[in-house]
Amino acid sequence: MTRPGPYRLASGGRINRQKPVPFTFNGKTLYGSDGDTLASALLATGCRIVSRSFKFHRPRGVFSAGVEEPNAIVELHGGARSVPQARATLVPLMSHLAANSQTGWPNSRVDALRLLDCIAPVLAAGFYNKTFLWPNWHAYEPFVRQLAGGGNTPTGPDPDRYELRNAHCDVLVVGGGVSGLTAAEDAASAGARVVVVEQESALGGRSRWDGRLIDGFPGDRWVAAAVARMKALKHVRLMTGTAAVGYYNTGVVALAETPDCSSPARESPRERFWVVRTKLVVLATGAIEQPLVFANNDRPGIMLAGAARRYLREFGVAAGRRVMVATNNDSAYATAIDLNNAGINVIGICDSRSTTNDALLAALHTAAIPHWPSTIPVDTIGFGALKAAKLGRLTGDKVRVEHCETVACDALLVSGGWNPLLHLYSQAGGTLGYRDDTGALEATETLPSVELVGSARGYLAAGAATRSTAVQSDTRLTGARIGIRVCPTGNPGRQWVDLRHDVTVADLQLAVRENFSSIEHVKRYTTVGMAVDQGKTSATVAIEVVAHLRHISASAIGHTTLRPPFVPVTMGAIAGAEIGKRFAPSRCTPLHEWHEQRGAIFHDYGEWHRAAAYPTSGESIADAISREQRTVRTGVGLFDGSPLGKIEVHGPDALEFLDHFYVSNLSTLKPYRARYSLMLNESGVVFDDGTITLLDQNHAIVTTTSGNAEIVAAWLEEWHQCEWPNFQVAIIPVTDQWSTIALTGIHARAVLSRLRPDIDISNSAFPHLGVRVCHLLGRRTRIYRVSFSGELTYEINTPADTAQEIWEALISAGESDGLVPYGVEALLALRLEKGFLHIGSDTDGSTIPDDVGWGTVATNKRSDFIGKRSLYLPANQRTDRLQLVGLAGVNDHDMVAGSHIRLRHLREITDGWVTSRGRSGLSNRPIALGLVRAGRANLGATIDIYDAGRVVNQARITSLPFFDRAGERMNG
Amino acid sequence: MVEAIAKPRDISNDAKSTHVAVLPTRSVWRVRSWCTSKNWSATLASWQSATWPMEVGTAIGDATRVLCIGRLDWLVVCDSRVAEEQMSCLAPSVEGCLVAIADLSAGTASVKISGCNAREVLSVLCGLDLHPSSFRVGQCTRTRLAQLPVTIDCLSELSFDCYFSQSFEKYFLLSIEEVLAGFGYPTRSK
Repeated sequence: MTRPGPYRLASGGRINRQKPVPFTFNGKTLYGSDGDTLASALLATGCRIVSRSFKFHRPRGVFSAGVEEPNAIVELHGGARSVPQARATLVPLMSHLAANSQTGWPNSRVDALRLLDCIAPVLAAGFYNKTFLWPNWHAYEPFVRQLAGGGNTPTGPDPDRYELRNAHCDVLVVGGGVSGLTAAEDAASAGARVVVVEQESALGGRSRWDGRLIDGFPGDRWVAAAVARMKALKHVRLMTGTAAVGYYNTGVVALAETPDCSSPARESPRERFWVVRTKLVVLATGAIEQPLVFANNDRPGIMLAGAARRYLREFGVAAGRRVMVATNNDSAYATAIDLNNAGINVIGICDSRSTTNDALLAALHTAAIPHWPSTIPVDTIGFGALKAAKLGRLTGDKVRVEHCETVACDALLVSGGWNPLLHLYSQAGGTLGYRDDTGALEATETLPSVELVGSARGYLAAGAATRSTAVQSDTRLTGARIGIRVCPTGNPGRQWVDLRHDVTVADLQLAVRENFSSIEHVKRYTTVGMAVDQGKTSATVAIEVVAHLRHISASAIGHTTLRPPFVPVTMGAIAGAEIGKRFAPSRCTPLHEWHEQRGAIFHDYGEWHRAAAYPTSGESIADAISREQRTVRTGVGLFDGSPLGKIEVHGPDALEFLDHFYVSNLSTLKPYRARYSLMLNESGVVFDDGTITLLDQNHAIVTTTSGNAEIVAAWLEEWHQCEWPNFQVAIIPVTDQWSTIALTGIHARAVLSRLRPDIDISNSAFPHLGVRVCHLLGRRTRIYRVSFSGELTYEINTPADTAQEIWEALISAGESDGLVPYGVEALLALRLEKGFLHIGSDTDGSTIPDDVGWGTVATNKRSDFIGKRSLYLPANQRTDRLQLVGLAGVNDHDMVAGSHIRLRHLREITDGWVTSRGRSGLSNRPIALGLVRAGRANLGATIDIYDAGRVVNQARITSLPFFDRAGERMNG
Repeated sequence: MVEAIAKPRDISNDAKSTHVAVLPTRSVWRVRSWCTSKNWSATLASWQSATWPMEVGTAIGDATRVLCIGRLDWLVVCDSRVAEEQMSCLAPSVEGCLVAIADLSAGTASVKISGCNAREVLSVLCGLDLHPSSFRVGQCTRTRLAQLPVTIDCLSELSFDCYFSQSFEKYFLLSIEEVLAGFGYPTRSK
């Protein structure tokens, strides 16, 4: 049996009083009932102060019962599962839930920072922009953020799991109330694939608890029958606990689902993010009740009237013991009558309108509830919570209050009209307009992809929704024109518009005085509507107040952008399962397991997980790299170059087609010969390099950098399909089909010959840049005489499923010559000595061929190629461009890649930077490559190398390469 | 875990839900042409009794499966022995007829996903509409699955073959395993 809280009624509501649910709030153990939300449980226990306001630390209690809650913002769970800024109204009560107020010192009940409220006039809108100027804002930021009390971020890695799912449907119905279910059933009956999403844990919306009859049935029975009918249809998916958080282009709607709320330590994911692609979105999102604005309208005990009715009927909780109701429309009358029927002392209902529906007046009369027409709250009294309300009688023109009366009460239930929830409609491109008669932002046009039903259509239009019998019963929004909702008198500095961010009417006045006229600018200056509730109860009121201050119609003000997400979505849900090993696709070569067994150290190079080095027992990685580098220079090494991009281009126009992409002249390329060249983009910028090989006139093979294989293939395909469709070519990427094994070093030929290839591999028969198709171990292979290390190299390309057999055979054959496998880092060091270009490291988004010594080749090519025209732009003709040069260390200090370079005779901020660095394998001296201003004209000059603003090293500019300038080793 | 499994292998075996199997290396050939489709049909008729699929996104065949994955662009998947014989016959007869043939057998991984929840498992990782009314038997598609470029062939209502670059195999299987675990399906190495 639940220990009943002082505000829990003995009966009523949909909670299970037999099943108590313990939870802690601010460290104190309390009890709610199964079916409660955190907010309803706190209200039942009499907890009036749930949180403190953002700026003035004023006490705040529960204000609403749903997504619009601006006050009851709490922190949940703590530790690694900490959830700051949670709305207590949306948190289902679970056993041993731990929540705290996330603000207040020493606690939320007695908060010393309330003193800030005494200097509220000083802390007006934009005060931080005007006061924290010296030395700068960041000096104050930690202190201010601490004061604001935004909660704590998780203290450790998130232990929960998240998922991302895709779904497709014909009709997505957002909102599982009566209107939504009606629309969904209509669409499903017509054969459409339908998805219904409901933010709350059960379908039916307010019909579950408001007691109205629908088609002659009680709401919950009607809903149960509708749900049963739809569950019988295979093509209907009903999703509860799921919020539609954003509408994106081409009918994409994002959903955030909370699958299981029963326990913080759960098996199922904490949140599931859905990407739904739909042909039609039906918005049955309903409307949100708006507040009234009067002095001190923020005290705990002041609550939206509709919320109080829901707490009564769904949770069996009374909002107070002496209740006053204030409204400007018909909807709050039902609250007053329901509370009265539940035995709660309803002092009366004041209405800012002078006339009221006769039927409502008759119902009040029957219930003996006093009625104050033309009356509006002017002020409230209380310190920790509400003790009394001061009501004022409006003059006939509604611009003044002439007679005030103070009424003792502990709850003031307010209703300022209803605003349709049209976030998704707006995000889909629909325009909203402010209607003076409803005081709401409503849809002004029809969209082909979005349909509105129920009260989302607007205050006066709900009765015209999809199916008459069902929806006519959902007519809480129908009624006469609303009355005023901003009290014309009272201290504007105490009239809250945005409860969460402590934005008052005075702040809006200040913004308008300072000439902010656009509502978007007012929003940013005052921060109205920028809190966690995103202005769901403040945006419309702010429009009305600003319009009044500017003496223009509210419809001329416009509105602020309704951006996604509609409710906060965890970053974990957006990332889904794509974290850790699944963060991004990773690739392994066919020899990966062999490398692992040999103790290779793996690094990620783009997508590829590659062997960086093979340290032996007790050897450091740096020593291993150095050893491998030396061995290749003096003996022979074996390298797994399988990630090298490989693209076959077939067809009679293959060579002519490729000639359009490379700066070298390919028309003279002979079969079984390879040519190295650069590929440019339209701007003339170098974006890839590789070899082009001709196997026959109809068959060319290009190699690309490892990270660019897919990009280059797509680049070739795009130009073929879009610009040059008449070329008779077919492009087929084959990177994974062919493993590449580089046998490198002065003994490479001897080692290869031991595998008895069926071709002559002597230098005369198979020279540098030659290509041969032959058999090794009976396997058909392609062997290239190309080198990225500067040594004699045979690049053996073999089908991936034969790679390990050939690799191991080469290891055995090279054993007597001391053959070692070498990793990517050793290769990069070897190529550095030769000054070979490494695209991406030695180039950036502005490097053109001349910058890397290829200017003459590009200029001499007569035929056109992509990027050629751009090379003649004045900027690309300048002599002071950054040029790639060698940098030889003048001392033994290593250079650092990325360090800035300054030429001593120039006074520029920077004259370039170090692009690659390492040590010479033979001399062990530090060497580097760098892009240096007019580098080639400054050969021999000494440069200063900077790090973090200080000169940390010097080097001398040299020509390239550092090693074997004649290329005798490579060509030998 | 996937690393410990030798081919052929299952990473799940729950007949009531989803069955995922890495198939032994199949023979996979990419065939592309730059000629008109009419010539193609005539040329290829001599190789297979049935006409090759000319509509992008369709597939025909049983033991030898031909997927039309783009305009004048096919993937031919079959048993290795049969494929070598057939492709060697095909190559000389059509190479002069404006066609390119590339063997991708060693570079292509093939995974079969079947069972009554196969579509649901795939749709977790893929943004395409895989509902039976949209992705029918005999259709194929090139798409992104688990962030990878994958070709999916719908063999039957409950069976799909996925083809992707072999170097992604570990990552692909890791992704599938995680999805299966998310559905609560048992996974089993064999």
